[in-house]
Amino acid sequence: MAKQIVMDATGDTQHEFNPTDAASLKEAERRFKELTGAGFIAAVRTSVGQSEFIRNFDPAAEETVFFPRLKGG
Amino acid sequence: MADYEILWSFLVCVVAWGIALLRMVDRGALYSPISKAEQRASTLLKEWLTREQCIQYQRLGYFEVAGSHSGNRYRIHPGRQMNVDQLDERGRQVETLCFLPEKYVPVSDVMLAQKIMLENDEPAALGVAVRRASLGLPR
Repeated sequence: MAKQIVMDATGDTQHEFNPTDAASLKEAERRFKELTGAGFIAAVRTSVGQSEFIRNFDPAAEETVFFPRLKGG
Repeated sequence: MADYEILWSFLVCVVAWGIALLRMVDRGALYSPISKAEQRASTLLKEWLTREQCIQYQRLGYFEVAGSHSGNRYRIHPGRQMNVDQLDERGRQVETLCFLPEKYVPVSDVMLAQKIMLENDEPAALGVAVRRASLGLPR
């Protein structure tokens, strides 16, 4: 199972999806577009402690974290 | 209304509140939601740190990252604002940076977002950050 992790006030909300299931994949892609469209930044974990930004949905990504865009404090 | 009716109403009210309270305790609703959120965020942060960063964070209470473009070192302390120090080559504080997610998230999530941003798009992080020359004072 792959995972989309969305940072929020509760810490995060995690959505698991099955990359081999077309419906599950479609829902994950919809969520990706919705979140990035709302200003969230998406990063996939590439190895231990390493990550990479993605601008488009990657069906092969095992773990994607979404965090709200950043502002100066 | 007779006295016993008032007393009866009071007792019913107390019992109802007691039951509601017990149900809230059972659901965990009386524990601090902030604390639970922070615990959750802290777990996520540790999962996304390198082994070195994780050890550093546990031992020293902060961890360091390398900027994606300059290679500069940044020290991320627990905090929401003014919690990122830019370091020089000798590890001294040069500047303090302030940038954070625009929506509320727990402190550990703020730190993870700062790490990911600096390690992947340092110019964008520096572009939004409020910067202040460091006084070199220990935190």
